[in-house]
Amino acid sequence: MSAPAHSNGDDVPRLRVVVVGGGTAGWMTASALAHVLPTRCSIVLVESEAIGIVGVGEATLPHIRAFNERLGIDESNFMAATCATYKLGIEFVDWGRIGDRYMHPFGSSGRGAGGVGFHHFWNRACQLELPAGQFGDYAISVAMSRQCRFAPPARQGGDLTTAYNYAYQFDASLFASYLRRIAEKQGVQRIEARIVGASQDAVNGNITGVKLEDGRTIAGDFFIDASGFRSLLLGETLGEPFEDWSHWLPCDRAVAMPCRTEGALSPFTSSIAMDAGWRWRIPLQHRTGNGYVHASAFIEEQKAIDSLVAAVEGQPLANPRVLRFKAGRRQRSWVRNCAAVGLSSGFLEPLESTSIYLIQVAITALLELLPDKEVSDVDRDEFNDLVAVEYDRIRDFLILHYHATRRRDTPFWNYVGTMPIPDSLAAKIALFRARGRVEPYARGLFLEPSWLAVYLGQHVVPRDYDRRADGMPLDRLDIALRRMRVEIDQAVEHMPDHADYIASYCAMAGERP
Amino acid sequence: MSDGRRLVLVVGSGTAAAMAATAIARSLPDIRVVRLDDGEEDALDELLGASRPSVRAFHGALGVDEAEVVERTRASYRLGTRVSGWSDIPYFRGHGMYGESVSGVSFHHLWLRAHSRGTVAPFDSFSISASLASQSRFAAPSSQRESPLAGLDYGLQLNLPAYAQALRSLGRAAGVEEIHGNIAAILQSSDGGCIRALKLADGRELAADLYIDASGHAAGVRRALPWRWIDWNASLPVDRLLFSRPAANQIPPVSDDLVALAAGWRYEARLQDATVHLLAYSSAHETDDQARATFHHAAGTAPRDQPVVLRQGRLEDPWAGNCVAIGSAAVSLEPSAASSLHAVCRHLDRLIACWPGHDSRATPAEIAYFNRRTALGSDRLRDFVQLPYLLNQRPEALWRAAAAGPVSAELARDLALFRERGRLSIHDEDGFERDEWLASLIGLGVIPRRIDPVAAELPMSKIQQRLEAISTGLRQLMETLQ
Repeated sequence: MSAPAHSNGDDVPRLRVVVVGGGTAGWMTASALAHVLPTRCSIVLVESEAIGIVGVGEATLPHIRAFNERLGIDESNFMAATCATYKLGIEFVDWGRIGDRYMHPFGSSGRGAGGVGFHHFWNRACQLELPAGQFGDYAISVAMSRQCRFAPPARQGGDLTTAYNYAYQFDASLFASYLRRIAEKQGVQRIEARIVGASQDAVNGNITGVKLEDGRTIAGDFFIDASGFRSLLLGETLGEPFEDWSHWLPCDRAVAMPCRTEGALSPFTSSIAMDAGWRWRIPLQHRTGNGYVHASAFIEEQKAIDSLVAAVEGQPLANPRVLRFKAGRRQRSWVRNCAAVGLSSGFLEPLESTSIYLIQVAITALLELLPDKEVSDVDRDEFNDLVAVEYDRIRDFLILHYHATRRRDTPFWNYVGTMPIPDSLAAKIALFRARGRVEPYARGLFLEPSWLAVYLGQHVVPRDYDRRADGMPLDRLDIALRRMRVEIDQAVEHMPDHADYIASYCAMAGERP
Repeated sequence: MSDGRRLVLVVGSGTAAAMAATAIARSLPDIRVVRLDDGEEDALDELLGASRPSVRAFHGALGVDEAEVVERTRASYRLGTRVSGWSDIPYFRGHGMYGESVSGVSFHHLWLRAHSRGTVAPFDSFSISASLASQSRFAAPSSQRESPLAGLDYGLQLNLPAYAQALRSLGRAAGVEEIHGNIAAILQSSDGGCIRALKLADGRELAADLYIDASGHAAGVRRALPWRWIDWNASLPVDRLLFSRPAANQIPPVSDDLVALAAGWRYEARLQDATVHLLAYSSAHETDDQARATFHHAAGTAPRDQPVVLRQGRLEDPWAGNCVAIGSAAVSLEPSAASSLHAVCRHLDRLIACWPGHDSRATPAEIAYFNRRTALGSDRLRDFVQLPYLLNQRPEALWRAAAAGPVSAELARDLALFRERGRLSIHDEDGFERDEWLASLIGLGVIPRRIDPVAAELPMSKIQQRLEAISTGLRQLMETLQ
């Protein structure tokens, strides 16, 4: 076989990309490829309206803003079209103990000094029994959330009152349609059909085309599997093994049911611990999304449905819908000439709103590593490495939520609170418990502020703190803590109400149901 | 010698020990710091004062005024190293930025695209530090985003004896006590895992809560505990060093020179008022006598003293029990990439952050963390130092062997990825900036087979415009500086 032509960016033949599946993953991928690499590839997306998409109202992470910006998406237009609200973080209720409530905010807490992180000073103040309050009292996004206020952070961020970020809560099916319009405008060809299989090259096993129900075959050079849990190409056709993590993350079902929103419009997602899992609450402009993520080994489906129906705040707007899944990931996401994006590559429960982020990771890597007609092992290995490290980091972070609990009140909580955890997580916890150190990593999601929020919110408190924090005299420490709380209060006082801000900036068309 | 405070004993008489004692005394309250000076300086450590931007972070953390240090110790600013003799064309390995990214595409992809289309100015010529160094100039970084000086970064060329002295006096002011004496014996705990005390030749016994071995390559104290050395000789064949006395300097000093020779390399470090020559060679490929002749020929002066023997490698666990090895006691590398002071700064920063707490003992988790991160950092330094050996284009036996030397899995992957499509991986504890890796890879002649697809989408005219804008900006800046 001859070596591929030297590709210097010019005169490369277009790569024929076939995207299988048109949910959030499929349309995000198609629109990004079409927008960022318009001359490099020609894209066909095959989807079937009969199949429907998993998106049940999505809470996102701040990274989504970079995605939108890259596609030139206007924020207020996009928010109106997807009935979006702002999201400043995630509230966790009843996790460490029944009655607990803390936030994992998109932003940091407090102001450190002399290169020493704020949490060391806070820990010292707690040990000395100063009136230091909760760790979250020093995060402006927590104060904004508590008061349901919103204003975008000043561009010159970084200080106490600007050290926050935001994401969106939106209707994922509307987001997919929104991106579809962009993608089709950029020349993506959509084919409405059910896929029945794939054809492979007899010699090298590469996928040569996908077969449709009506007998047609869609040929391509490179295939994106965005088929959701089914993992049509990566799992079914190419047989890539699935690494099962359900012994650490036993939740394998979700019941979803939207309802009317009651009360103030929260700029955050809630995760409320339940007897055999947890319940999400995602407020959108037109409704509130709810879902009970649970472990079928610990609760019967009907009982889970009943618990959800009993728990939602307002009038139900649809019948409960059950989703089935399993935590884990395919060993590799890119095999031969096929890369999986989204649920076809793996699943992690939406406890930290990472689904769309994982889609984005795969897309960003694809944009930079898109192959020529012949796939290079180097590209593929790099892609798989990037994706795997993200999954593994998130996995540990999710397990922490279950491990760091004192609850033993139901068999489910007893199981997760006592189960063995991965060595990688055990080492992180031991390091944190000693002196509040969070090991930094250059690749992967969740930096120090996120780990701190969950550790401290769930009673994993370091025995000791950075010794340099002793350098600040006690009276100065006390004053500094008070001043920070006052600064935050004053800054939040002038911010608009979340619902008002949305009404004036990006209200959806029509009326709330 | 107890007054209730925890006691740390820093062992060493050179720069690393002065940095350690002063940093600990200034950063941590309620710690008694004693430095044991055995009068035995590490010849290699005290030879070259080339430091990276990390030394400035070190000064920042200590609240030391940089301008004052430079002024008082006759140090100078260091923008990088001119590297020649490894590949066809010399290149500059500078601190700071090589051109700004466009639409999220790293500058080097733009450069590579232009390169594939024909003539483009060398990669270096888009670096602010290379531009300044080519005219032996220095200017402070600018906070104005449009200025080419915004992308500038630099290290210091330290005049080590004066620098160590200045740090020692800062240390004394912060309460560091100094003891002079020779170690006669190191007394271990009954299980052999900790140090109980140091016995001095004059009969005194020094007992401490924590021992810091900053004595250089000898690592005499840390060596008393279980010791596992990882040898890098197979990857980095240089094992002998010859050097000159400082000689009066004609050239204003902002960069140093690294030149490959048949059986090693030579290096010229320029201080404010003196130049030091150094020759590093492989004893398997050149005898000491041959090396002396090479030195004389290249430097125009005879080397002083006998060659220093260099064993490159690292300690598997610098922190064992109650003893922590830092600097060249923990990692020993040839001085071609100014990594030695950098290692001291990074080790101290990490050690202070992990400092044993009020209950006195460091936990196994923290010791493991310190050792793991220090190993990561050391291995990454080694990979960077090895790069010119692997990619050299010289015909001599040493160089052909070095090009085929063993490579870490990480570096092998990085090279494959860069060769394939000009992409750099991200690593934890990478002591070198991305642009230094790029300048080295491109300078050593690695041109990727393919470029970033996103860069390929940019119109060539936009890329040309960008390249010209950078060149013009740099040219105009150089004119105003004159």
